[in-house]
Amino acid sequence: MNIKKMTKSVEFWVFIIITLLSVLIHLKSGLFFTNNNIVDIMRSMIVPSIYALCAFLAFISTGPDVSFPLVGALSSYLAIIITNLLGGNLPWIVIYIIAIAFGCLMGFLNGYIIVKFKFSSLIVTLGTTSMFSGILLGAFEAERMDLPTNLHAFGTQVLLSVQNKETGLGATLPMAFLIMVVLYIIVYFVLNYTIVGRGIYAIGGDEISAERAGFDVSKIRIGIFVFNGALAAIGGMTYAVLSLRYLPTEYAGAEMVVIAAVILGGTRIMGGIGTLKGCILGTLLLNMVTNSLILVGISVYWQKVFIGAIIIIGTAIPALQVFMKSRKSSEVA
Amino acid sequence: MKKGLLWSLVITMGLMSVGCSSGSSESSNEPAVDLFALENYVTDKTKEDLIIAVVTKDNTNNWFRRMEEGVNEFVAETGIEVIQKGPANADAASQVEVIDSLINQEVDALCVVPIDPVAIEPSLKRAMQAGIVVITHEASNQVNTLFDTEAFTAEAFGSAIMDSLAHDMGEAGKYAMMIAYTTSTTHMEYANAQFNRQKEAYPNMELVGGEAIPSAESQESIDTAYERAKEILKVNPDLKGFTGVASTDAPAIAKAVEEMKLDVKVVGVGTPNEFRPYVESGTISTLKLWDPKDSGYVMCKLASDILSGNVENNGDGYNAGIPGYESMSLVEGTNRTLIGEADLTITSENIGEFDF
Repeated sequence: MNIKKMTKSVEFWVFIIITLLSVLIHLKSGLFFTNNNIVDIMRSMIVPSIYALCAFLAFISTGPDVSFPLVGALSSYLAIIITNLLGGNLPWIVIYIIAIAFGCLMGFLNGYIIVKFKFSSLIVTLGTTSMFSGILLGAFEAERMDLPTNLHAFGTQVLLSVQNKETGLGATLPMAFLIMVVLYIIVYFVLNYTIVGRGIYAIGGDEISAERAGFDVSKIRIGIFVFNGALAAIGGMTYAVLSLRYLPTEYAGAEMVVIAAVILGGTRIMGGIGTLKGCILGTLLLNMVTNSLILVGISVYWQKVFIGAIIIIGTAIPALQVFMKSRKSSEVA
Repeated sequence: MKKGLLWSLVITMGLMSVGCSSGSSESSNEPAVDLFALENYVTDKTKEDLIIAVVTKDNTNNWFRRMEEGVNEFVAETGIEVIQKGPANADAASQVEVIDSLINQEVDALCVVPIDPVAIEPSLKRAMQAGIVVITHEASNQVNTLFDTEAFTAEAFGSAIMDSLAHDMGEAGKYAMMIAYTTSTTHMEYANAQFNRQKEAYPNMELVGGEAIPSAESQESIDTAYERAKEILKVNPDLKGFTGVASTDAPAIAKAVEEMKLDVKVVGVGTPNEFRPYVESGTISTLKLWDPKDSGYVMCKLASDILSGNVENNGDGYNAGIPGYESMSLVEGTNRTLIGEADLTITSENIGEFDF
């Protein structure tokens, strides 16, 4: 009974695909299950999985949010510029907090427009993305720049360092990994153990019923977008910290991959359904594949084809399940 | 029925040819001035009366400050007045404004580094109609220019990158190459030229990944370049050399190499200031580029030589009189492009001399 229930969940199938693929990659390259490769994959997960939280929370409560790369880029730019104006010696956590403040502001703008005018979140966040990029690149003329000393130092702090005994290759997991872990713990707790968490799923599932059940739809929705702004700011700062350099536009355009990963993990685009477990598994799957294609010797020209195929196959599984279920129920009827 | 169709076809064609001939008679009525004939630009003004204007993409940028050094050398040498100006914002529209105001000031020559060649075509055409010499740099697709000047061909630069890499890694061992996008023409030209040069001159070197060109795409992202570099290094822990031609590539490859504690020589394309820490630590063994100082000097020199009638209309090349630009070859494409052999090599030994 329990196993039957398990096989029905998307997360289970994504997990199976991950296991199969990783074994395949290891058989082909002999390099997958090595301590340095595992650490490398964990490192490469940091920023995508922070951004995946943005996409995930927006989907389950409201709809698509595509603004997070630009919210991240603009808020971290402002934080770094302000830090430099103040002499550049602020502790890294304070620089993060400045970025988070700006991120919340931008998130509030998203949420307010969506709630107040009942616009589609896709249209609104596309619009604000364009605005933020105009402000960042037009008004501020942001360019690549070096990080303030403390932020740079934070980027070089090591949480875990391993060396492969056979090949001698080293890999390091930066301290920033903990930021991602903490964020997932917070979101997990809020979603599963608080009334607000219930409300987030409820308003995404059926807005009117949620309102009748006593949830303040507008407040929760604006709250989600403000929180998303904060997450995006943390994502943007962390991206800069990991690259040891501020890069204004590099993540722009990657939002679609993040969103694909979240959908892969079983989050429903129409709202109300999705788990944090699925969100992280989907991100792991896509990230693992993107970062293993050279390991198995796939040429540059075929890499995009493979990534596309994984997205389509991965998302086909839940769709197929829904199809099977509906056929079954129609048979019963 | 068939006959009717044939007749209508003949009539249509007849009408079309009439249309054509009337069109050509119209165009022959236009005043025939060849804007690209160099003799039309020769002036009898004395050196003291000449003004050359250099228009950059962004004058606050270190790259163009370096260019100004070359311009100043030209001024000191010839006594001709040169004004170097950049747009208030680094966008095409602001650059058009700068060019237009310089045309109104009746300068004798405009040397432009275009932000967007297409956007400034009308302004440059107007300048040439007003008898102003127009020279460009880094704009091989610019139509309205007497000459575009380039430091080197993509082939020559790609070969030079390979020569540096071969030198740094002792002409033996495995190497990999990264570019921004396989769809980027220039980058693919660099990559192919690197490979061809290696095949021709360094038989003991081997391109990894079954000689696929390139080994990886960085998509102009430091993070992607870093991830791809790590993958390539994992598959080839015995790699000896790595090239990256986008400015994002070499620092990211160097970061991966340092973290994985490997001994790999990295040759990159970019500016000294961006790469300084890695060049100083030795992970980026060589930095290849061209010197904007020389580019500034060459543009001014060429403009002044055209004004004084020292440049042949159908000459096969040009001598700007400084190293790397002594026998610039002429390539006729969209425009007439003069190409030097002026790749610049920067290592930990001479990086201190460059600040841009």
